[in-house]
Amino acid sequence: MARRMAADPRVAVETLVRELGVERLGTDPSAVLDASHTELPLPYADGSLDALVIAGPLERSADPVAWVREIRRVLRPGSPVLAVAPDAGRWVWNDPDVRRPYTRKSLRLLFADHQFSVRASGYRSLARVPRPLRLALDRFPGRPRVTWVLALRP
Amino acid sequence: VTETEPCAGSFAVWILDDGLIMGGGQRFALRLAGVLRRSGIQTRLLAPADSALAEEARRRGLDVADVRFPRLLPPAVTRIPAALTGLRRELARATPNTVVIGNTARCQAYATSSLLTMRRWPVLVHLMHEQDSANRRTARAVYRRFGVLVAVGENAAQTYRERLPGVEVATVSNFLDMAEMRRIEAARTPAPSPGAPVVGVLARLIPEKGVLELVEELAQIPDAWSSARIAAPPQDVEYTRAVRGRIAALGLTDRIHLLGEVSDLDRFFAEVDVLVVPSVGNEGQPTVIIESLLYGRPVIVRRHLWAQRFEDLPISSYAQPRELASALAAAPGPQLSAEELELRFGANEVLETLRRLGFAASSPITARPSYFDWHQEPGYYRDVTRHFATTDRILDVGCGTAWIGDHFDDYVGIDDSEEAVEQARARGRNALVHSVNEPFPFEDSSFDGVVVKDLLEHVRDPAAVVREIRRVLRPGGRVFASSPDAQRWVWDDYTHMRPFTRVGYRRLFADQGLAIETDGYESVMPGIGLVSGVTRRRRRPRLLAELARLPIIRRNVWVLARRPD
Repeated sequence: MARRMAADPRVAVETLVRELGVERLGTDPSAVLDASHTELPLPYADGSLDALVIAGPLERSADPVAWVREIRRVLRPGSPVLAVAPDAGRWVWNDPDVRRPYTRKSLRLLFADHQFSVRASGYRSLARVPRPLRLALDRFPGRPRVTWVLALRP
Repeated sequence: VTETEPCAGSFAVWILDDGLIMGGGQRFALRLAGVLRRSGIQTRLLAPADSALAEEARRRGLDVADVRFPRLLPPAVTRIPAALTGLRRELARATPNTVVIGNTARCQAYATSSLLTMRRWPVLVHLMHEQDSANRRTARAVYRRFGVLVAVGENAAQTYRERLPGVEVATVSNFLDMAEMRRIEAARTPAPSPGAPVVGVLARLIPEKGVLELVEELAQIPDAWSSARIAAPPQDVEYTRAVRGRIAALGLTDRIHLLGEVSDLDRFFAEVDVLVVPSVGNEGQPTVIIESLLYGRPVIVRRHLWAQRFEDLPISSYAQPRELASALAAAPGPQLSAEELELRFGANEVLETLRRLGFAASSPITARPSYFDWHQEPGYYRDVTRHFATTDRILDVGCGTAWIGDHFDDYVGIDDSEEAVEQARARGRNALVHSVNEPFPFEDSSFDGVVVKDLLEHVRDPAAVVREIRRVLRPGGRVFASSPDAQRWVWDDYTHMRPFTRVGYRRLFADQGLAIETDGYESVMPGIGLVSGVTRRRRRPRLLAELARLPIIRRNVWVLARRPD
């Protein structure tokens, strides 16, 4: 699995959590949903989580809307969710488990259409290069990058 | 690339006006800006700096930005790109809950074109002071898709509701603010003449205002009035000449006085007994009606005003000269105080409406999936309907609002969105709620044609849907299908499951036993629906259609296939 994913989104998730400065994000490791989570419903009670990171399930699921509804269920009102998904480029299809990529627009709409209040969104290159170069690559759709959105549950 | 949303609650109103004339609409804008500012709402006027409107706005201490709206015809065409860039730069500074008001049709066109290329939209309000735009095809196409329609006056709202079925049209009434109402009330004078009344008209000399018609009518009832005072700037030179000529020809030069532009309303109303609004009916609600009532003068209008707030007021309407005569002979109604009139014509209603629009836009619940708009009839509808005869029995799979049904006598649409089907039925189209993932509720070989437009990219098992289509098609019947080509924009819509290619699309249909007749690319560039809507053929313009061969153009793949005999 690790070898298959030449470009590993986990790096982007770590730096995003650090840079976004939402303290609650990533403090509870059990509330980080990655590619190993494939089943719904999530094993949490209604409104029991203060923060959630999801990076993996959205591009592997045939029904991303069900995941967003589930996230809305388990989050406490006003709590943040950081969602990360691959951008629509050819490299996405190198992973046979991936069903669909996203763009910033579709990831934003996915949350905004389900009553989340989108606070920030963007692209993040997966290249392991010095920061100035990475900032340039963030804007370049040809190379592996993810799109992300930070949204608050209503 | 990070982008942070500004906080909700920063409600602001921007008014766009081309400042071409200083008419009722412009005075409405100035009053509105004044009232908003006093309510602590950030207000800006975007208009050409050298216009009379901008000058007046600056005099009133309003925030004015210099934005130009050149004519959409030569020779001004060359200035359009620069004007659009300028407007776009201004609009980019608007927060998502800024209400941007297009105050004239031209400004609405400019605002729409600039917003099309923007990532984040403020709320666009088309404020309709007139009713002509309801008869313009391009304008209607814009109103169906972009922005919120707010009509001034119930007459205008009615017209837009009739021409744009299914589009919500909000109504606001013309208003005066309280300070101005009190001032006018204080300037009220007793009616001047005890005998036959002096008729007053406040308008502009353009055909829509019906001044020429009024002159004819007055000539037919010479005993019902003593003189007429027409305060109207000569905006249309030809028309002004015609009015003047007609007055002379009827020998009424000493009774009908053309006063030109009048700025001192106190004096004007002191010298007339009754205000006549002879407008032939393609504008909003003239402010002069409210002003006249405040000056204590009854009003006679040519068209009945459809608004509750006009009931029980000294306002009468006429169609024939003799009705005008009896209206002039009637005793003047009761004099109303500014307080009484404020209840009906105060600024509260318009403020409430704008606030509601501002907040509705800032709440995420109103956000819709991006594909929703596509289910309205596009300007290139003939590109779809031309494959079938109007007498064919047609099945529309994933019909949305079922606009295709308007082009066929025997039509049925299915869609799994209850909301879409409800809208389709509200427009009298034959549609039913049915998930395309289930077998179709129709018998074998029961249709002459099937349309499956923008659907197969949304379903989990496209082959199963095509199998069902083949089953319900009669031998020799045709199916038209289109879906996005494998391009990046496909993934802008999170309900898309997969794109197609021409090869893949052909195989999809051929594998289920259908014979491919034609296939190709069709352009779905943003705005192509609007462009195609003004063509005579109602198809994509040939050049733009050809451009879809280039992979950089946003395009669909389409196929026309036949069930073999």
